[in-house]
Formats: sequence, structure tokens, C-alpha cells
Amino acid sequence: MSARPTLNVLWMYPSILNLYGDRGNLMALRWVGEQAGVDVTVRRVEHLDDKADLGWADLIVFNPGELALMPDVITAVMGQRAAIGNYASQGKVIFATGTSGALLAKRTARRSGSNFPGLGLLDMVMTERETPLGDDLITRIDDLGDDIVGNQIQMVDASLGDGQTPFGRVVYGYGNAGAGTADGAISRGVVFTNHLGPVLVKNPWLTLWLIRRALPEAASHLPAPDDPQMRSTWNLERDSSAAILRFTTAKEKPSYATHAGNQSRRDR
Amino acid sequence: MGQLRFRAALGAGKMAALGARFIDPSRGTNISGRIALAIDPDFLDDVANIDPQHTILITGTNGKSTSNNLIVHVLRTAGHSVASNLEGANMKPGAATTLIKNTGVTGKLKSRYLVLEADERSLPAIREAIPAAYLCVTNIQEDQVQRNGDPEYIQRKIASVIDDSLTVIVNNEEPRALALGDLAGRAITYSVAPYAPLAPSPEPGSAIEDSFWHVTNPCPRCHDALVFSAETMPSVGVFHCQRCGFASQEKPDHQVTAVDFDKGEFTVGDRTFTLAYKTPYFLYNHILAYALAKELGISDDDIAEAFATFTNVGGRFEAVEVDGTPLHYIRMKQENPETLQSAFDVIAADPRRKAVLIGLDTVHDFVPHYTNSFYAFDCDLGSLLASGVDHAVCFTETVCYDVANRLRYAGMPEENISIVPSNDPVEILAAISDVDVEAVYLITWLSFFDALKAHLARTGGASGDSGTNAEGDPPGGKRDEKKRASAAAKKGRDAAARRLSAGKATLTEKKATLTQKAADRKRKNAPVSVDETIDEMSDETKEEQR
Repeated sequence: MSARPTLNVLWMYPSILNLYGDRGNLMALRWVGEQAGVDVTVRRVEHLDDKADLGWADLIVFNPGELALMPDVITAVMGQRAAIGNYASQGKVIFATGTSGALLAKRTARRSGSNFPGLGLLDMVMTERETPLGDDLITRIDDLGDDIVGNQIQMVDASLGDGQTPFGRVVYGYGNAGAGTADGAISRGVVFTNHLGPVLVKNPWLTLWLIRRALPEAASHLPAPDDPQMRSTWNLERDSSAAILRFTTAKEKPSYATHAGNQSRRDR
Repeated sequence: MGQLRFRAALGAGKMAALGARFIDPSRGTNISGRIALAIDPDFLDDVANIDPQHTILITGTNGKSTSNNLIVHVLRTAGHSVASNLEGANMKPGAATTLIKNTGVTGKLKSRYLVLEADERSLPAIREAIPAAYLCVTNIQEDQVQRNGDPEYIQRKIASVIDDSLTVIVNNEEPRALALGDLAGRAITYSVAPYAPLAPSPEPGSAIEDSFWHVTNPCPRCHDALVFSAETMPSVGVFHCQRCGFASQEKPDHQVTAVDFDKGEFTVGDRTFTLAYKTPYFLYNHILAYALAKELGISDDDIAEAFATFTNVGGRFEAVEVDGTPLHYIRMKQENPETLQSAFDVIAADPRRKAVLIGLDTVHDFVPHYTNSFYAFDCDLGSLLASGVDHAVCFTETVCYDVANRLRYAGMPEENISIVPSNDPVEILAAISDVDVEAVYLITWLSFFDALKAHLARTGGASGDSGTNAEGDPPGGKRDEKKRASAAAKKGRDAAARRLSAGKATLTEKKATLTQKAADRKRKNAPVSVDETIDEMSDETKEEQR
């Protein structure tokens, strides 16, 4: 590769889908991209009436937002439903966290009894919780050497269809439906996780994993998430992960039987 | 039977209040109310002589304690008797305790006014029992997300109590609060006109390290992105929604039209008032109190006298000295980005060379405790770093690494960041023992500051107000401890430097350039004296947040 690869990122509705310092995810894409030798360009899609330039994008990021506004966001993205479907069918990457999973799901049921549809890019149905589930969350995915360490403030439960693959396996925290050990869902490049906040800041190995998936033609020239040189630049993040792992191992667990923290830790 | 139960509850509550005064006055804010409510769950409903027109509830995420205190002070200055939960117990038992203390043996309220600070989640229960005609709302912002999820949850809680019978007094520049006015019989708006920001920065209001990353909030009516033409605080300012037209009012009912932080003054109409504490939050507290006072017929002279004599209880800013260097403590609330941002802005307003000790910690609100640090990414650090922060120490056992990373992302030179994975004051102070600065700032929970003060008192490292080190330091005391601390500091800094150097990224240089530009802009302005600044934004109500 002679020229540095370029990653084009659409930051969807930055001021609308904005709850928990989530803008850090976009900063992390630029930061880790630079470390990996990728020029990362981020474009903001600011307003609900703005059209996203899907032909330009390699990666689309939906951070979480208040559930009450999701019907309006879904109405906005439905205006480009065919184009988004075409984008996803090419294996291009969409990364959604927290409540924005509702945008990718088939539908979401609110406690009021109302429902609103989603894009249906994942075989998943969401249900609003009465109270949020807030905790640390540690997820393991097969092709990452390091666990993903972060937080969940889970306001909707996700029920996956029989054929739907979870994004990862919860090794500490609550699963998609409060119960279970499934975190999120993945279908080709469409990724949903319950990790919210700046999860890509805390887990640069996941950030690089996403960048590589979003740039399949350049991926072979990019460092892998377990590249020793890259890992040596992530000491701070690794120290954070190790500290949180110690904390989650030692702390008092909730009494709910569904909590993965109450399950076997033999593989930790 | 109901009246009998009420009398029994009242009597037991009064006895408990009396007992609490003798046993532990600091723990007596809730106990009598809890006992009364245990005996008579409808206790609040049965208190007599509450006049709705003289009953005011104050709620919101940040600033309700100070607003409550200020309003009570204005009313008392004007000669009125007031019952209030000034101690800060702002849930239903706290309200019950206030009534127990301010009723006679027959259960009749003795004061003319009843002013109650109400926790947002407890507001529906309090409002259901207490027929207030006025509801003051400070703001609705991100806070305690493990409980609340998102701010819209709190907005719904508050909205659920508003009906045609209620007059709401709402912040014109805070969109969620302003939107509540739609639901009320009447809405009175209070406002602070745009002014030269406390900590000058590339954008109005709080600093931003790079305007590209700046975010606001969704419109509470149509959910499109709000556009702010000026911000006095993050997402508080002159705003409009280009989709539905919802906007801050051009002519609010009561507005601060000018502020002079150096003089400690602000102007409403043609009258100038004293501003004792120089933060934007306090401006909003004052204009809220002014708006309510005018509604209740209080004269400008009485208001002016009250503002001039107001002293906030439980201030959130204290100073001690460490080896002759002033250490300013700013209290913050966990999981609350607004209080953290305000702390950063207060520090940014100090032109001295300084070190900052940042102790975001694991959240111990309820089980499961967790490691939330993400609200640091809600904050902008541009002005802070531009103001001359020579060194930062990130401490606490688990979260310190994430905070250090936040500083690194903001462009702080990595060699200037120390990581101390501990809550031990010795280790933390050691990290700055040979850093040459004019001031030290500490941002963390109150419990750590209390531990630090106790440590300094033991070692003679600070007297709290003398400005000098203790004379005649005992052999083997402070100096030996300093020596040990200095060695620990060097070890800690070396380790931190190794960690951080390994993670150095080229973005730092770009951000340092931006930081320097912001610093240059800042030094052209005269910031206020932080010695006179008190951070009011923390609620002083919940002991679990200590």
C-alpha cells in the first residue's frame, strides 16, 4: 500500500443521540486510526431532516439516545431505508450502542403499550424496561484477544431471533434480556452492543477491529488488534481493563439470578 | 381513627426530633419524618394550615439546594416566617420532618410560608400530599444514570405533577425545564442574558477542546438537534429548534441583563444586586429567587438586602494548605457531568500555575457498584488545559486510568499526568510533592476531602485557614512522612510516565497548539478570583453521594 487508507465515518445525530459521553467513540476512531496509519474523516449528520451520504461512508455510528425520541429518529432513517439496506447488504459497517439498538431491530415495544418499528437489519425485538440495569459490562468476542470492558445502562431488553448471532458473550454484567450471557447482536457488518459511553476509547482493540472491518481492502495492510506494537501503545487502556476486572471480581454482586456476575468464572 | 393516627405520628415524630437533637444532630434530618410516616403513611396529607399560595416546591437536577436556601433567605429578610428543609433532606421523610418541626401539637403549620426542596424522583409523592401553588425548576440534566437512565425520565417525573393549578417558574435557557411550562396553568421564565464567559474559550460558555466535537441536546418537543447561539453553560443558553420553532424566549419575564463577576454584581432591569458566589450556576439561582420573590410581592430593596447578606450553607468550595501551597477543594456529584464541567470551569478561571488532583471514583449508589467514568467525556477540557495546568494527578483505585485517558484525549502532555491507583492521601499528595505550582485543585467526593483534611491535620501539613505550615513539626512526623511521600511520588510518576509515554499519540501536538491558542485568548481577560468562588451545583442532600 503506497497511500494511507482513508476511513469515512458518519456520526449520526451527534446532539440527539448523546447520553453518556458517547462522542468519545468518534474521537477514538480518529485516535486509533492515526495510530494504525489510517486517515479518519468524520462527518456529522446533524438534523433529523438531513440526508446521510451513505455512498461516502465506510462506517456509520449510532450512539444511544433517550428512548422517547427513538420513534422520531427511526422516522428519519426510514426515509433512507432502502439505501441503508443496500449499504448493509454490502457488508459495510454500522455500529450502534445502547438504546440505538432499537434502530436496527425489527421493532421496539414501549411500556406505554405503543410500538415503533426499526430498520430490521438485525433479527431482534426490543422491550422497554421499567428501570434501567446499570453496571459494568465485560464482553468477550471470538476474534479479539482482549475482552471489551465498559458499562451498560440498559433501558431496553433485546430478544434475539433463533438464527441471530450475539455480538459477544457476557463474562460480567447483564445479558441482552437482563438474563443470559448474550451481548448485542451482529449480522455481517451490522453491530449492536449494550456497551455505551466511550466504549471505543476504553477498548482500542475493538476500535481497530471495527476499522479493519470497515476497510476490508486495506485490512491486510493494517495492524491487527493483537499486534504487539499496537498493544504496547494501549498500556493505559489495558491497565484500566485490568483494574475494572479486579473490581468486578471482588465487588458485591446484585442478588438477581440473571446477572452474569453470578455465573461461573472458570474461563475468566 | 385517621386523626388519632396522625396525632400519634406527630407526637412520635416530635419525640424523635427531640431525641435526634441530643444524640446526633447531623443525622436528624430524616428520622422523625420516617417514624411519622411509618405510623401514618398519610401524615403529610393531614398537616393543617398549609396555604397553597404560600407553598413552594423547588426541584431540578442541579442547584435546588442553593435556590431553596436563597429563596428562604429572601422571604425571611422580607419579614416572613418560613418552614423549609434547609438541611437538605429532600425526599418524603425530609418533608415530613420539616412539617413536624414547624407544626404545633395540633398539627397546624405555624409559619406563613412552606418552601421545600424536592428530589426529582420524590416530587410526585410530595406534590400529591402537599398542595403547592408554585413549582420552581432549576434544570433537568444528566445525573445518576444508574437510577435514572436518561434525563427524559426525570422530565417525565416532574411533568407528572404539573397541571393547570400550578404556576411553574422555569429556566428560560434550559430547554427541558422551559418545555415544562407548556403543561402548567402559568409559566414564569427566568433568564441570564449572554455575557462574557467566566472562562473565555474558543466558543461561548464552557470551553471546548475542539468545536467539531461539541454537542448539544435534542429538542424536548420534536427531538431534532437544538442550535445554541450562545451558551452560559453546556446546553444552557440562547437556543432554538430549526424544525419545530421551540426556542428560548426573547423577552423572558425576569432576566439578568448584565453581570460583573469582578465586582460581584449583576443587574436586573435598572437595579444592581450583589452576587456573592461567582459562577453561572449562582446567577441562575439568584434570578430564580428574584422571579419568585417578585411573584410573591417582595420589594427590590428586600431582595437586594437578602442577596447582599446571603451565605450558602454547606458550600462546595473549601481551601486548605499543603506545604504552603493553597489546595482548593471543589465538590462534585458522581455521575453528574455538569458539576464536573463547572469544577473545570472554576479552575480554568484561575490564571495561576496549578496542579489538579482528580478523583473520579467507582459509583457506590447501590448494588451493583460500578465504574462509571464516561461522564468525563461529556465535559470539555479545552479551557482547563489552556489555563495553565502544569500537572494532573488522577487517583482512586479503579477509575484513575480512564480519567488519565480523558486528559490525554484532550491533549494534556502525557509526562504531566500522574496516575495514583489509590485513595491514600499520602500517595496522592506525594505525586505533587516536587511539582512547582502556585495552587492545587482537588475535585472529588467529600469523603475523600474529609480524609485528606484529617491527614493534613495529623501531619501539620495544613491548618485549613492559617496559610502557614505548623511550626515545630515533631521529629519523625511530617518531615519523615514528606520524605517517604517524596520517594513514593517519584516512583509513582516514573511508573506513570512509562505507561503514558508508551501510549503517546501524534494528536497531542495538534491539541497542544489549540490549547496554547486558547491560553493566549484567556490571558487577555481578567478571570475572577477563585478564592471567592463557591461551587453550588452539588446537591448537599444525599449522604450516599459523599
